Amino acid sequence: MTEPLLRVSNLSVALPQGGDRTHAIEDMSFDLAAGEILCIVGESGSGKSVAAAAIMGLLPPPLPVRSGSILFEGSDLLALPPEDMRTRRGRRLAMIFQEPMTALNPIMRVGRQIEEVLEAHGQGDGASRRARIIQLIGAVGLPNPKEIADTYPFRLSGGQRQRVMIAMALVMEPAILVADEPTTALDVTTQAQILHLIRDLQRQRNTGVLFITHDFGVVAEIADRVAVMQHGRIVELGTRDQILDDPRHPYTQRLIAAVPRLAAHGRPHIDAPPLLEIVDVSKLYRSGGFMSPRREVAAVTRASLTLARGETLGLVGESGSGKSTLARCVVRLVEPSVGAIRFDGIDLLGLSPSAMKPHRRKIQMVFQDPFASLNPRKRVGEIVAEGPITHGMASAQALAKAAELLSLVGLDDSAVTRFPHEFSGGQRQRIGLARALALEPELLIADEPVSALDVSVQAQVLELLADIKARLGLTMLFITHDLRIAAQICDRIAVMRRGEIVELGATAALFAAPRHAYTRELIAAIPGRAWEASRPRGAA
Amino acid sequence: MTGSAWRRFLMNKGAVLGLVVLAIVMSMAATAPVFFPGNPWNMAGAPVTPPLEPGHLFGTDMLGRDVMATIAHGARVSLLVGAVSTAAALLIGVTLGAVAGYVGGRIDDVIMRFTEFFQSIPSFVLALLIVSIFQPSVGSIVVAVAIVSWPPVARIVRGEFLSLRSREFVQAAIVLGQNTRQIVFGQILPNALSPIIVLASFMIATAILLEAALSFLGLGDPNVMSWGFMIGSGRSTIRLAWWTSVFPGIALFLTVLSLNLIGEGLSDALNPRLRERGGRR
Repeated sequence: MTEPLLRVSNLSVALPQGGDRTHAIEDMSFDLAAGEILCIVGESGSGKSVAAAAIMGLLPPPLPVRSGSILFEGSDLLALPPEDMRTRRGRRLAMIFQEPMTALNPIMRVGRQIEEVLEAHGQGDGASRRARIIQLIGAVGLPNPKEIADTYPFRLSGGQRQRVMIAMALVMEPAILVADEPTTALDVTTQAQILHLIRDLQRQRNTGVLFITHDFGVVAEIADRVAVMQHGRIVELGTRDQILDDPRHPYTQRLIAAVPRLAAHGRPHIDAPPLLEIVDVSKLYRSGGFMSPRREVAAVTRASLTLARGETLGLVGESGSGKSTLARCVVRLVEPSVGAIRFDGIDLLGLSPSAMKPHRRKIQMVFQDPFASLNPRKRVGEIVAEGPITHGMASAQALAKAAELLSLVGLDDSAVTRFPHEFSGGQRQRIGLARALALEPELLIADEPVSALDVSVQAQVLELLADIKARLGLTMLFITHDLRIAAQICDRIAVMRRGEIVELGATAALFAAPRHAYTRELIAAIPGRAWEASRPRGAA
Repeated sequence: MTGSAWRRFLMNKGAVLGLVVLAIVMSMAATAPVFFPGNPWNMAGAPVTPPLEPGHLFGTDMLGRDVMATIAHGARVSLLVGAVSTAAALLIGVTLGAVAGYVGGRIDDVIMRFTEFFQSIPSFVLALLIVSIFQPSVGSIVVAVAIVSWPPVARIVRGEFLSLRSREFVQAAIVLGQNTRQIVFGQILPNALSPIIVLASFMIATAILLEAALSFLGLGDPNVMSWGFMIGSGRSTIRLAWWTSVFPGIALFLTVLSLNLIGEGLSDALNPRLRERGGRR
């Protein structure tokens, strides 16, 4: 093998005292060759982003480098004076960030922001820079490069902004591109395009790419080699095929086993009377008025679906498709503009808040964000007991029931008296589930309940949900943007786009023969589909 | 305040110092009738006795009133005005801010325009106006100070309620079937308390200064002794008897400083992350 482009040897980065471990990164070594994509995979807190920051010289002061070296083009990046590091940053080493929404300066035209990079490295004059920028904006697949160069970031979508970020990173033809979760904030169809773009540009320019991600689907799409990180250490390093198909380290094996399978096994058709009927529900948002022009945005347009008792229906779509709005209409967190929502034959929309109260307990919800969905000032026991107390149970009895439920969702007794911040994301999601179950609901609405969780925790929470659903005979409306998860747990799936339900069908049939073009597009965009075919059939 | 916030507060030297000074001022106020019995307005010795004379640690003023006694009695008025007017301002501000932030829409617009109306008048001028319309008395001073100091509370509480209202734990409470009262008092208000507590400590300091300023201009309650009055009445003879103005001035300065230190300590203790982010370590 030729001399690597970048060689990281025995790098250790300390964490501030009082953390749960002493080092953010410990004894990390890897090489990156020109024209290669190395994926660093790990769960949150594994130190993967710290590795990226170390290479870019962007470590914050509380995280000092303890030992090791990063050799690049004949010098150790860690030993360089700041000014020398600056001349390399942007010119030889470039970076793309996770959040395209905040990584661009909102009050500066896009072309001007790219030009700043050229200016900082003293490249060309005004006219030649302009030509280069426009050529590059075209190269990252944005339409009308001249117009895009003169627009402000707020006019661009998330995917378009990420393309601008990529153009900015590549403008100096860097030898190395560090991409820190560049597609995590994007929708799945946009993600597929961006991954494709990075791969193409990297091939053309022979750039070495260090790609940080938590998603094995993305790894399967893009990686040449993979480094798996756990607790700040690289536990396994190998080629993509070796890591994905023949993982050797137990942690890697566990992670890969936790990635939901795309295979939708046939499920028996559930033939039961309907529990929930959503009939022609629309939700319009009006803004403006007095001082500004009125605007109407349709979040949901004439959506209809029926949930049979005991069924799990998946509501799938990209961000802004109206799936959460529709779910919130069912629990009346959002009032639909028109339509009917019948629960067990009763139209909920006509009910006053007090008439609604007895029905509330039968419809409960698990929320997306495990950190925002629990009141930080209350003890976990109180949080779970709150529902029954509200509905008239004596508080001692409710607390006893809370303790029971917490053990049902797999938390131990001491949880009752602790505060939410003492728990991890997965544990908090279990608390959220216990809170919903405390009212003995018939219908459970789960709004992206695992999308904020790491993949191994995700698997556990999904398993728990499926288990509890079966044990208590619940009906479930499951909202997700992740088709892999939907394939795994839903009996039927409704696909939403721009507020409309475009397709509704049994899970296996929908994956085998999607009828709507958008469904086909969504399924094609799932990262790692090629890998899926070769994936060893382990325990499901 | 939770245990860990209290510990962080005690780690802050300035805040602890502030707490000590405030405790001294409070005990001085509490014990004034014991150590300095009788009316502080009465003559207690020869006029213009310099400090450190026997019986008059801080000297006496032009009319022979003991400066030490007036400071101790003045502390009562300052603390009373500070505490009561702040409590009243909190009551108005929290209520209006909470309604505006929780209900939103047109009601929010109306309340915020009303708040801005008060903020568009310089607060000291408004306080002067109110006190001079009513008779100057402790009661009217408290009312005036409360009326000029509630708008910032309303704005902060409204902002907190606006952001907390859309949090998922509040939505969860709605889904559980809790009513508005339970949600406002049980879910949202406890989470909005930290900024309110911090603001309150600064408001007490401002209220004490306002009262002193009003008394300095002769709009204080003529029946009670106050620091502002002392400073005001001593200013014409400052070259002859500096101590009549300087000692009440120091008392005022130390009290306000201690409240500000406490406020800052509370702010850091209740929002530890803000401080770390600011990189002030």
